[in-house]
Amino acid sequence: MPDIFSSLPELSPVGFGLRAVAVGIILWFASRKLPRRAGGQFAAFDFTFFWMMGGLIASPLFDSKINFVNPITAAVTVYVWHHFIAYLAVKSRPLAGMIYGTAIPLVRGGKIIRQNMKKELFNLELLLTQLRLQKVTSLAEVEEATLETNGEVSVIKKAHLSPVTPQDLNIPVVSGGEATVVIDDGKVLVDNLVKLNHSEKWLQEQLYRYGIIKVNDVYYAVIDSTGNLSYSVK
Amino acid sequence: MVWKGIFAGAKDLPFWAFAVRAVLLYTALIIATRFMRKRQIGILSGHNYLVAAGIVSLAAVRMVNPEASLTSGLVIIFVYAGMNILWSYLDIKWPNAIDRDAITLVKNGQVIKQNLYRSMVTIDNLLGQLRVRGAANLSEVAQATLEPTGKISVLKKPATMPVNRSQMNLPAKFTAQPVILVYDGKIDYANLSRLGYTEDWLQEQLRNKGFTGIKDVFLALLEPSGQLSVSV
Repeated sequence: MPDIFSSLPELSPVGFGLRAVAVGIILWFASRKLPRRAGGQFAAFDFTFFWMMGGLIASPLFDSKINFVNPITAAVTVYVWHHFIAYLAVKSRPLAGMIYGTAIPLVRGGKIIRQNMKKELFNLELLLTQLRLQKVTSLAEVEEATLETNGEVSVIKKAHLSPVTPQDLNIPVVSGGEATVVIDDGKVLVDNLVKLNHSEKWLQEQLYRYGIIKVNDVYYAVIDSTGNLSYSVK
Repeated sequence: MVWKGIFAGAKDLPFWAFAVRAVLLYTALIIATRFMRKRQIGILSGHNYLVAAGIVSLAAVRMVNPEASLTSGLVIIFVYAGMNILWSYLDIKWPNAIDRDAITLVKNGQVIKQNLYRSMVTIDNLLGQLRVRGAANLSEVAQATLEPTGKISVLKKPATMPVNRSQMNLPAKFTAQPVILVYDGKIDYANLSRLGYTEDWLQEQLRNKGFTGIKDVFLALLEPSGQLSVSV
């Protein structure tokens, strides 16, 4: 049997199948170590990393002449280089501006800044498309629009057109905010319960009031910021 | 001879051989992606995104290289997709072993410095993402999280969100998805009877709106408010 991990002039479909399994295992390892931000594609450099890494990992499947060592070397190098650049950027704001680019104002005070549109190769149609995607129907509604480093446009609407909030009406807020998971697939997350100063017994009593006898029957349960328990059965 | 070359690879292939390869590999990718389920299309975790970038480029490279075997290409696509499905399946069993966890970047309007450094998100990236998600001011943010997908989710403080019906003491309303009753001139009898309506009722509703025949109707949707919205 040929050594499927090294460069070969030819490889059978079965050999490539085995290679695909090996690449699949590398895939898991790589996916654990990936920089999270790359998936968010906040800047051009994340975008490049994202697509290059996927190609590099899969490259032993491109051609039998490509061995495993070379792509792994390249992938590790790109990873280290990405990490290094990201480290510099997070430590120094001016460097981040140079590497990632900066957010460019496109509209300020309701007026389009023409020279910035030109500089970013942005035409009016692109701006209007981005505004529509943000549920803005007309330029007249826009106070500020900014072209972010990932190519998205953020919009701040004119103050008199923004939705009314409970703050504006002095209405006390009774719900919302972050919720804590207390049951995941029938298992009680005791640590999270303790954080909220509740015991497992309390949870069981609460569920009993809703007619649930066995915790194991609950797929998911959360307690929201106001202390309300909500759940979903299996 | 040519057909053997298309599948096994040959020194030289006629141009139409690449059309055959393109059709087969592209179809194989569509089938493989269906097997990998919606989480692949949404690129929801690390292995999903590496496979998304990898499987497409390997199919393209093998498609145009005459010496590469098409049979191997098809085997690779399905085995690689199979490995991806395996990781997704194990992700249900042991979520912490396969995918990464979410990192909190902002809590109650306070940026958490060490988490920002740990995930290497710059302050300008964060503020930009907050602006894109409609929370330009940090004081409005209850929590911002860097999700395993790499996207930043933003939860605004309830007091800064648009007023909802319960805050205005308005009565509850029935909400649901609108249901298709007519499409392309044909009645969806299953939907109609599920809602407890008859064909006569629908005909009458359409007549009231001035439509004489169901054949003229392209789309009729029953909205949860009880309103029938019709496109011709």
